[in-house]
Amino acid sequence: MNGKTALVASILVVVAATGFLVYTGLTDNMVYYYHVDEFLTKAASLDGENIKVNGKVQKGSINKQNLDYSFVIHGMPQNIVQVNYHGIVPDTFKDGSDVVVEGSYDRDARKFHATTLLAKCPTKYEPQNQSKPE
Amino acid sequence: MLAEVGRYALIAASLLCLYSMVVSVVGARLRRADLVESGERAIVGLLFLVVFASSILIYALATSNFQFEYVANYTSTTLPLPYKLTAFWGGQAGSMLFWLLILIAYTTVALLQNQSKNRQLMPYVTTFLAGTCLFFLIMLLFAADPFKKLSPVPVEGQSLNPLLQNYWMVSHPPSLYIGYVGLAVPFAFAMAALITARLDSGWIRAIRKWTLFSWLFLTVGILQGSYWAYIELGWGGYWAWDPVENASLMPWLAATAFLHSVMIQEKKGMLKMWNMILVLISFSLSIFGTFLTRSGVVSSVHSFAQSPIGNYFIVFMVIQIGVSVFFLLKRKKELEPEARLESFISRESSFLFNNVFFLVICIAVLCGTVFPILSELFTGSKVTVSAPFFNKVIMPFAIGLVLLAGICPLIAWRKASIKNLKRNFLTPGIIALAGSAVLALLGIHHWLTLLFFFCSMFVLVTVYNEFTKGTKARMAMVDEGAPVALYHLVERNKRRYGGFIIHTGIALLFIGIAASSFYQLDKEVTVPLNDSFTIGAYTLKFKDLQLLRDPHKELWRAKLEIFKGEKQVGVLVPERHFYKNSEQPTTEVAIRPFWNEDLYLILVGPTESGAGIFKVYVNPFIGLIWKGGIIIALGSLIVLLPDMKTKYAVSTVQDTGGEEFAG
Repeated sequence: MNGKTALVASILVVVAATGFLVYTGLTDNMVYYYHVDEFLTKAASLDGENIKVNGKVQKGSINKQNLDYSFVIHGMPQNIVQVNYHGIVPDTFKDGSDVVVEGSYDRDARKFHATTLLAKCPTKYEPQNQSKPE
Repeated sequence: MLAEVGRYALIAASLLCLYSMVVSVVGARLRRADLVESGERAIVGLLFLVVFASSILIYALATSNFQFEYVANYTSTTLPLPYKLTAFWGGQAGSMLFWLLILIAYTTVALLQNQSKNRQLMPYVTTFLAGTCLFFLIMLLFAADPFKKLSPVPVEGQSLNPLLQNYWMVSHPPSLYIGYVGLAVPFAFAMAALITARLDSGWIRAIRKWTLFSWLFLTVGILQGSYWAYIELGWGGYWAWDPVENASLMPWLAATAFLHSVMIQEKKGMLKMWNMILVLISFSLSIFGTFLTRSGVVSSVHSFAQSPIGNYFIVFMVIQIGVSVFFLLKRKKELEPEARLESFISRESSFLFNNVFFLVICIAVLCGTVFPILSELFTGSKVTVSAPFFNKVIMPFAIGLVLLAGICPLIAWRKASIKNLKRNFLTPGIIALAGSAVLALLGIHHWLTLLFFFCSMFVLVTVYNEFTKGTKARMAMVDEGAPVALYHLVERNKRRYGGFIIHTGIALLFIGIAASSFYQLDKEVTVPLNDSFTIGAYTLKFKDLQLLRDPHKELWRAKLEIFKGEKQVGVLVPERHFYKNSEQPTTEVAIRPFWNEDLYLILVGPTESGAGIFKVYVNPFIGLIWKGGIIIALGSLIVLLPDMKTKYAVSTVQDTGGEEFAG
């Protein structure tokens, strides 16, 4: 096998490996992302699945006990989801923040158990370097 | 009044841009040097107008002139002056103006450098750079107006987010912009070379240092961003695969690939087409990066507003890629390689692999970054991927690249003999293997860490060998002491040895990444006052908690003593600030670096009973990431130093038969 054939063959291997890694990487790690309004129409079918939900923190809904937080996120005013979270919240998490929670929905308890919490600042649209998504 | 003047300056600048583009092309076509020069002089006028417009905005920021919507949105009268000024690049319109300012400054420098060189290329270089300026001017005039006026004029502005009020806001964004924008110059030269069909190495020589210069600033900008995240944001990490971070990494990857493959073209006349493509991709990615950062098209923790500038960027990118591809295809024949690859085990092929790996990583990052947009576009539901995707896909190629960093500079050209391989790689291989075995015996059983360590160690030993061999050879030949010989060795061959220094930095950086990712410890604790808790080898004793007030903020300050065994080795003072006007707390992390690891402590808050809630991390060898970064920057600076004409007749001393880094 001369140099060129070997090279082409190994580059093909690299490309195939990349394709494989990207494909399995995507299928293993992809997480559906819903807005609260959309989430509620599908909540029944999403029981227990790992998803992200985006909504606004309802004013006055944040309850905290040390690192245990419970709060409500909403889209349209009537569309609300109760969320539980344990951990450190980003500095920008407060009433009215636009948040993305990742975790799973417990249909029977009607509660979303968040494992990660991201928040964007409600008043400013500037770099919000906050808590990391993982 | 001022605002109108600024706007007129931008309008005049656009007309001048257009003029410069037209006369440059016409001048080149008709071979009229006077027209070409007129086009170049127009660039100087353009520089003057853009500097003028920027000064108006900076003046308005400094004097808190809230007639300007931009000033009112990003500053307030109580903001310290340095942050008022940094608001120039803190907001959208300002950052676009800043982009333009850097671009026009670069254009001017490129024209000055080439007043008597590359004359056939220059009219088109001018055209493409002026064209890019025109795009930013159009955006500033129609979509992101920094001179928009507010009425009624507010008494107070909205101020800058407290998270941005720190030193890093001063230096991190400009570094990135200087890097991003710098890639426009190689692009313009590449296009000029394609259009004029002057595809010899002239254009390559003209842009090599430009690319390295941009690369240096991108590198420094990215690492500053990660350091900022680490010391200010308080989640214990430094990189989150956020779209905005990825946006800066992608052009960096493409530019790194180019910096390597260009050596093969200079040396062997191969990869001409490939290099063109890499230059074009690098610039496209730098525009794409600005687009991602500024258009709000991907949801990022850097959350910028959804804004109309996105469409402008898309149009520009389509034009830019369309024009590039058209000329690439037109010159396909002229870009044929002058030599063919002879052997699989050769420096040529190791460079090819280096390039393929860089590009593969770049594509993987791109996939992960745009996947949410594409999935929403095609399936209607938005699907996101996060850190595990990137880590999984990139890891094998990153390991491969570190290994190649040891192999590429030393393996023989054309076809490596067994003897060559043995001479250069046997000792480093054995030492790295022995080092890994020692680590394994010491209890490091994570195989990826061991693999990263092996590759990094391998690189470090090969670099050490090269430096000692070169120095010894010089000492023998010209009778110099070791330090002098070492100095001359590097000074005579900056590209090769500067490159080795960069590789040293990369190897250290990867040790830092691997150790801190796979061996991080973390713990969440609630402790009463005067109680203690342990993490890793440390015991932390919670000594004090205070509430302090000043006119702007309230702050909680905790004090913890660190004990290692019986001995006190330091104190940690984490804080949590509450700014009155932003209703938003900020976390002040406390970090105690030891030689091998960082102890990293966050005060989450006090409980009602007065106990403290803390999150604590131990990050092994994380400091190597930024120390490696400093070494990379030093190496790049050495390569960038201008060549001194020396009188000595002594030829450069080389051991591996290579004249430069690539050979």
